[in-house]
Amino acid sequence: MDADVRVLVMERGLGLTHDLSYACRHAGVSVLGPVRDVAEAEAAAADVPFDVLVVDADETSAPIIREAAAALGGVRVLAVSEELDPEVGASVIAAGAVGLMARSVDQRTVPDLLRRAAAGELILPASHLAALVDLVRVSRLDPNDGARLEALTRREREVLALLADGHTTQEVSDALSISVMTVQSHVKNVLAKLGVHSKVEAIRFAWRSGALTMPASA
Amino acid sequence: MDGAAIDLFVFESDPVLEGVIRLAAAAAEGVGDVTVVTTIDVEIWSAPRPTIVVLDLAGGLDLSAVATIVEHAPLARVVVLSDRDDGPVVLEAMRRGVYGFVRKPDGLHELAETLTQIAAGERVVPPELERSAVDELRRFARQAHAASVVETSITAREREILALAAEGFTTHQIGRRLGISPRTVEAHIAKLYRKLGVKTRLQAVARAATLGLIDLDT
Amino acid sequence: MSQRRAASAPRQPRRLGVVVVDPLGIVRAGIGMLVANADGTELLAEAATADEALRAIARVRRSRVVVLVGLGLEEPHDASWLMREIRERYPFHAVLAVGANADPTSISRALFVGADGYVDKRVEPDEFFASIASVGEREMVLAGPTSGDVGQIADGIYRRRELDAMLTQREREVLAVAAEGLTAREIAERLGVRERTVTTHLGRIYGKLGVGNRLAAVRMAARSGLVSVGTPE
Repeated sequence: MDADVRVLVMERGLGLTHDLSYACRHAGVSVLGPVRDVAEAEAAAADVPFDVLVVDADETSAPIIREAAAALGGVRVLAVSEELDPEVGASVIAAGAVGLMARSVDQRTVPDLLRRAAAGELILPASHLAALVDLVRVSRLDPNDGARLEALTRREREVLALLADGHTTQEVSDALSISVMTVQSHVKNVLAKLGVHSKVEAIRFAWRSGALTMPASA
Repeated sequence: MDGAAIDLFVFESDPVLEGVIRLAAAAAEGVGDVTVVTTIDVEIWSAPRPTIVVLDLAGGLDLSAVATIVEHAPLARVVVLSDRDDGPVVLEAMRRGVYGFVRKPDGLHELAETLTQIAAGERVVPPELERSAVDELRRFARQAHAASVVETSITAREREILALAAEGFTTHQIGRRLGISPRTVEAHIAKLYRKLGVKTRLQAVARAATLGLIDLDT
Repeated sequence: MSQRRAASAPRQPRRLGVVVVDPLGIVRAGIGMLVANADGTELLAEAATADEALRAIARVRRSRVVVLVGLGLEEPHDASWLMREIRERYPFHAVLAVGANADPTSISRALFVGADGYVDKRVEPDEFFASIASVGEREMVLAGPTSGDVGQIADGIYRRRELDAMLTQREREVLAVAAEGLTAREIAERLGVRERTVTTHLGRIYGKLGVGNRLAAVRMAARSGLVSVGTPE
């Protein structure tokens, strides 16, 4: 019988392969392997194409999963672990897996889970949402511009904002209660840190990177 | 799956964010299948039924993508995910007609609830963000009015000079580009200062940008 | 002879002065009562027309005043005219636009000419009063409109900006008067120019707006709040 889904197992022992084979024996899901590492998985892929790579995983498996996902192109990687730890779940997703399955899951559901993994569905319990959200990267600003703006001190940023608002050096000095010479010194630092040559360029920079919201003065 | 469930489309972004969206969609009520798309193929969404479209604004798409979708697929309910939550960004998103504005990362914890509400046809913007947007609305209106008033008095030539000054060109360079003498340029600039109510070139550029008369973003 | 003042009771904070402008007597009476009965506010004056309102405001000797302007004010001077006048002559007063289920474009028009906020007559009296107090504190208020409306109001302002940017001051004036339905001759009389000048302007306006006739141009003007067609109520 031709299997509609082919699964390759990657583990050091034989236990997972055996369990999965048994669970899938009449289900049209063909379980192959095991292979011991990514290199062996790549070799196997050259021989017999498969849809899912099942990896015996724990909290240290992210690098291997990342490597496997990169090396195996369209193959889905599904991690399996003893327990469903949300942080492990989040880290394998971040590494490129389609999900995390528990060793102890009801065996009758295994073929369906593997089919869904092959189809690219997410295999993860709803309770893992919070851990996954914690891994979401938030960048406040464009990476290049952002880095340069972030190098400014708070005072330097205040001076820049006031200048962009159209205030003169004297007005900035009055507003921040610092001397005009200090303002000029801050401006010099701002120009240097942003890598620009004039005040006009500096405020262009700030506008472009979205660091300045519209000035408060109307 | 419920016949009235609404399908959700999400633009390809990083696996963690996609995972979060899939989990939230699975947990939400009234949301159907999740499909990851790579381009704005409005053919998908011009079907005569509502869909939910999730856009991550940091993913290289900006709010103009919302405008495109809303224009070609009026039944699509767009939800944007954003790092920024300041008044201008939220107001602009609302102006484009988004159904939901989700701040990363904290808004993601409630994403399932948010998607449920959107599937039910409600618009969802967190109260604090809507408050910022409303505050910005007044400032936006004032600025628009001021721009209209000032603009009627600024000639096309003066606007050209302003734009060039904003790019950092000197009086001589501006004169050369426009084929007029530096003295004429200076005369125009002096008139501009009066019309804009400013005293320096930097202030003129800043004020013009604030009023939206020139664009510093390019 | 110096007198030591005995410790006196702490001075009460000045009550917020309110001026109510609305063509309907019952509305003025209702809002007036709300304002008069509350501790923090004081009804200074009421007016049924824009001109009456300006006269009343001129007589007020206060700096903290909220002027409630009903959007249903009619000719010869409408609510937009009044709000613009107040903004120019008395920029320190706060203006609160009052409507009855006003559409987003009318609200954006009010904000554009300088209103500090908008309150809908359909809100509960508590919320209505709170709106007056907030505007008195220089806060922006939008009471009544929904989340979806906020976006449309912003879009109305945006469209107004776009329209204004396309036309010269004169062209805007011509279009605004044309929207009243006057003939070219009547427009010319109103603006003190020749009829031919008006038709030339109109031709240029149609070209810039990309429309073929006056109706389409007026529709565009109405959609961006440059003119208000019909009462907002």
